Amino acid sequence: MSPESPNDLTQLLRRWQAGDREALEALLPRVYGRLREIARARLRGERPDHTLDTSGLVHEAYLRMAGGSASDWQDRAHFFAVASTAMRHVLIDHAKQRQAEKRGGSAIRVPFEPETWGLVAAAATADPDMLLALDEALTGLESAHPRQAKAIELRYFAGLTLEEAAEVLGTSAPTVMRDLRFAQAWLARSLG
Amino acid sequence: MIRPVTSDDSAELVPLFDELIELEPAARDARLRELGPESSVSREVVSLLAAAERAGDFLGLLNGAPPAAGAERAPSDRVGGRYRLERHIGSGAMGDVHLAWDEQLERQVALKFLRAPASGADPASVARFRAEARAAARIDHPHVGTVYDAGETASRELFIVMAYYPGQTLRERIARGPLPHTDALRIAAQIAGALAAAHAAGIVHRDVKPANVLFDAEGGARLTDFGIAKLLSDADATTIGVAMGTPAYMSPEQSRGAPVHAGTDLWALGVMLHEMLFGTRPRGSGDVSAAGDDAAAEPARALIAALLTEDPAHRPSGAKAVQHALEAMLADADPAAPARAMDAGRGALPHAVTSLVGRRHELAIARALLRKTRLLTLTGPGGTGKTRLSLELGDQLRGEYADGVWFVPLAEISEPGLVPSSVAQALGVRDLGATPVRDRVINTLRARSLLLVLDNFEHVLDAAPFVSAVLASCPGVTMLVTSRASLGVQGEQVLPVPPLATPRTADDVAENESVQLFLARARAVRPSFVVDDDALGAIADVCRRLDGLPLALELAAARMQVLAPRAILSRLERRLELLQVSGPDRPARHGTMRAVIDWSYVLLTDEERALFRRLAVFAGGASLEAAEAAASEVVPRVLDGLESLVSKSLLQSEEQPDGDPRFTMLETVREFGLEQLSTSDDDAAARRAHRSYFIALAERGAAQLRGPDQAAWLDRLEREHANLRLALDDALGDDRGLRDAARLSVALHRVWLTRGPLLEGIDYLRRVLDAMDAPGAQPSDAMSRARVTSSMAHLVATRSLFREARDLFARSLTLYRAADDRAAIAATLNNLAWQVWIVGDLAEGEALSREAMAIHAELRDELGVMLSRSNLAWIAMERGDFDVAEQHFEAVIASHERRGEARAAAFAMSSLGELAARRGDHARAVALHERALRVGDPVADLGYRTLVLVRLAASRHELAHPGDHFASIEREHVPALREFGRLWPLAYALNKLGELLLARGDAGRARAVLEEALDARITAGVAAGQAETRLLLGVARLRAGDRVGAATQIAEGIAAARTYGARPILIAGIEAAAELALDAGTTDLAATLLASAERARNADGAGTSLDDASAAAASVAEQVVREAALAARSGATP
Repeated sequence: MSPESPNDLTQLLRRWQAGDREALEALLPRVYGRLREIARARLRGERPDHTLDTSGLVHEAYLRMAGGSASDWQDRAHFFAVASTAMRHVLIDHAKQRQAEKRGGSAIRVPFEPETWGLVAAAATADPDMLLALDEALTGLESAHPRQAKAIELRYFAGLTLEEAAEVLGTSAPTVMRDLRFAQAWLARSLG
Repeated sequence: MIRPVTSDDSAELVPLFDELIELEPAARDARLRELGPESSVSREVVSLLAAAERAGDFLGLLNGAPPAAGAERAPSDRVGGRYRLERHIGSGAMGDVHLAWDEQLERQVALKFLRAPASGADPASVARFRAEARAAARIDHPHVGTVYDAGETASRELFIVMAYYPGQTLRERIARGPLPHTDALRIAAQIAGALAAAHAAGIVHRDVKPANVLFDAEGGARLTDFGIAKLLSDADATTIGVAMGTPAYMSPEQSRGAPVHAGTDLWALGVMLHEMLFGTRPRGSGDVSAAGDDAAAEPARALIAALLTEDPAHRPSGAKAVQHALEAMLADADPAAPARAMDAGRGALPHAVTSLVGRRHELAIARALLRKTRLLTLTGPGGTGKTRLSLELGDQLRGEYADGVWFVPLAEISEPGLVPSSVAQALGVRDLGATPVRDRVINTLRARSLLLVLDNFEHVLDAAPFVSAVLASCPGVTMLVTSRASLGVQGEQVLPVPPLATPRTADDVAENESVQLFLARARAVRPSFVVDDDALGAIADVCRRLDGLPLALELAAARMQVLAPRAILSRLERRLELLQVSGPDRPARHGTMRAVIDWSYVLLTDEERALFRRLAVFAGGASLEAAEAAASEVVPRVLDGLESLVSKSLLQSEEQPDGDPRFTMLETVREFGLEQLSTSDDDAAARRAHRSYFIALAERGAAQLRGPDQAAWLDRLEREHANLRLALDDALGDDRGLRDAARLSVALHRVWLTRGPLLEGIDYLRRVLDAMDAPGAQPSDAMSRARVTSSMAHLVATRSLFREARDLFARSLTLYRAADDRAAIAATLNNLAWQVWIVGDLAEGEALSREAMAIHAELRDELGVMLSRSNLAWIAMERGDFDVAEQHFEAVIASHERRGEARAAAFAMSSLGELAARRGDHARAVALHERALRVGDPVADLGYRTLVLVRLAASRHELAHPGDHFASIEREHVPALREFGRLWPLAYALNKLGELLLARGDAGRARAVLEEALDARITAGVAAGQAETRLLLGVARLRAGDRVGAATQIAEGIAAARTYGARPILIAGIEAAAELALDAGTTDLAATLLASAERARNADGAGTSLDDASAAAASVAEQVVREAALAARSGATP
């Protein structure tokens, strides 16, 4: 992967915001790749006793991808929005891998090793079956209540604080709180 | 199935959900009715609300996490010169709260501005505010929100700086519905503890409410805002109430504007507990009506009712008592849980008295080893600091074990067999049942993740197999052992703890660990000490001479109070030479340690030495009172002596839960003390003094165990377990101690009954009895023999071994009769009567009770008369004479209540409840059992309390009260009783369960349950229940298709009921026989039998004879059995 310049990132984020689907498709793999890269580097022994959390990963990915450039808060918010989706993919892939291992099969070869990730975020340590069920339910919620679903993605998969999630969604922390409460009820109901 | 929502619905749905979830259930229902419950959006929102109720914050997303590191902070004005405001995080009646950054200490804090009172803050109230804040800051308690600072801004706004707890408040948690039962109790217990600490410091909170309860990172509750309400009300008298926040938590006296006190906070705690448990606030004083259907919440309801007493004088006395009651409930709610694990699972680790110096290397290795191995033994000679190291490790590793770190001191026991008991005691596992304590400990630990620290294992090395068993069965348990020798079991990792390094060259002196330790301790006794090169050199020499042994260094450094380092060195050398431990070859370290203790000892005054020797006798430490009692005959000023010994490091002083000091000796020091004692002429006298103190204490306690202070006394005696055990062993080992052993074991029997260990208690009493009966034993008087026998009978009866108990009571009765002790004769007759009727002889039981009653009446002992009447009531109830039974019970309840005998009153109430249930009046039964639970005190016997809960649940089930009462009997009460090994209540519960299963049509399971009930009743020797259980079992077998098996049981059940003379059971027998006849096709016979049973039932105990009908019933059953036998024989013939 070629190292992207901060300008590219900003460009892509703005294009995506302007409604360009392709921009998102270009963004996702980059963010995904970068997240994976950071996780690996950290766990390779930079700070062996330091456990990773998803929120730290997302923040660091942003710092590196946006470079030192003084990108405005809006870019940061957009980046978090993309990164939370990427993070969700990462964690769901991870869950599939763990599920396959749990069942003793290795039919699906997911292109990364769970131990490489070693994430301690709730989502990373959750029961893979539960996580996959949750992912499915969340897809359902997305079509009925997209804002509430996004709030879950930001908070649960990317580990953002209420304030950060509010920033990404362009709303207030209490609203995010209400959205999360609603979304959790909705998810709980479809999970049965 | 829910219809998919249309987009129209969707737009409405979210705001509607947001609105409704904030409402109380009643308001919610009203709003839904407005919308029309059938509208699709209503249905949708109802299902979502239900899901929210069920799942809550299941992903844990609603806690606002602190902003990520590196997030930019908005610059703002500094408050108080050092706090930079970051953001607004809340507002309340008191004012606004901000998250702030303390620039001096570089940490986040919560900064609360107090809304200026209407009259403005005058200088006096500002001063008072500062004083209050300072007082609050001094409350050092794990469940009090930490106050750092308080002050006034340039614009004269008052502010208070507190620790920042990012979690939710309790108010937010309650807003999502009732808390899980154990969470509610745990939080309430923690808050009660916080209040106890505050009240002890003379501070009344005045505004206890959920919004003032925060949660720290470990999930522990934190009570905040002490004293703020007082400031506001003082400053502006017109705003009382408004300023104090929600009136819903205000006690009647507070609302009236009357003076407030500790009881005011207890009222608010009651309101809060109600809200946590049931989701709503009570409507007024004593109101617990919302509590509804949850039997598990019974004791909590009783406590709430007590807290919400209009008259503050009648509320429970003190937050400490409330805390204890809540902790007891918590232990009951989860009997397998370590009772003291409630402090957010932090376990129980004694506070280290001094800081640890050095040992960085050992700590790192031990931490790494503990991650790899599950048994780590720290070995080394006495005085090398193994215990101190284990405490430090435990403290550092607290966070790594979900269920905390638990410290078990083993120095106080001498028998390897007592190790499981010590572990049980440390974990708060009560040893009350028939299950061996070893198994109970293993069961408790099986699913736990914790670190168990076993200290001073060297003298109980034979208990190593227990350690292996725990490791094998409890995968989450890691053990850290300190011992002079390794355990030698598989999987053990040994880490030798060497003494501290001593300085080798002049250069490394200042950095050296042993020098550091010496200096740290020296500064503690002489803060003004200035180290110059000469002193440093002398200290280095002292360290070398003492081989870097930490305990030796501490003892030597304690001498710095009066001696300079040089002087210490010269005296020490003389002493070491005198004892010839030093010489051309290096002294053995043990020798060095001994020599230093000896040196400290020689420097004591004669009095101090005598005191030191006497204290060495104590196992597990001495309270101040005990030390004074045990030593005052040789030492006139014990307290001065104790202080001096503490200052010389020969004693440690720590605070007990009741605030009094407790003095303990390190094991190495105690060994030396015992050695000195054995060579002095004071040995026998010292042991005698120890023994007499503990006999007196136990007897004083025994007298209090029926009164209002019983819980506190039980705690106190439990704390002295090691000393009491020592005194008892000592008395049993003494040729002339038998009398003392008898007194002590009799005095302790009630502690064993309520707190355990039951089997150990029985064992002690048996040993005393055996010693009395041994040939050539010291002559013991009949009275003391009678008392021991009768105490043992009580313990045996608690285990539901009624025949053995009956024989023991009969023996003690003979002895009392010989001594003609009228009061004791009457009391024993009552106890004997109870065993006799349960075992099956109603007539004899009645005769004994009447004899007892006559003596009690003659002695004008009302309590005794009532106990006799209680027996008579039960006997009448068993016979089916319900009216007679009822008259007795009513009289007994009235009398007990008048005399404040809460426990006995509760027993009679629940008995009357049982009678109501047998009559079919379940509503009355429920009311009576509830009353019994309310008046019965929190220390009531667990087995009995569970029995009442079973009765209550059964009647509630009959009344179809909301809640799954059947499940609570099956899944909570029966397993609990099985665990306790209490056969009588267990059999009752199983019998009830079988009856309910039969009524549900599940004959198969009913049969299995009833078989177990019958076994329990046979083992316990309970005749009454046996007949009943056999009949139920017969019916269950019949319905499960086993006619012959059924007939056998029914025949035996009827026969037993006829001998026993229990009319209601006989009627049940006739009905069972009718069912059998119907099954066998003899319809006419069945009809006749049913008709006579029906007649008998309507007569309710009145005269009609059941002889004919029961004979007919018996013959039906016997006929079926005979025919089956014939059929079997003919079938067997080829």
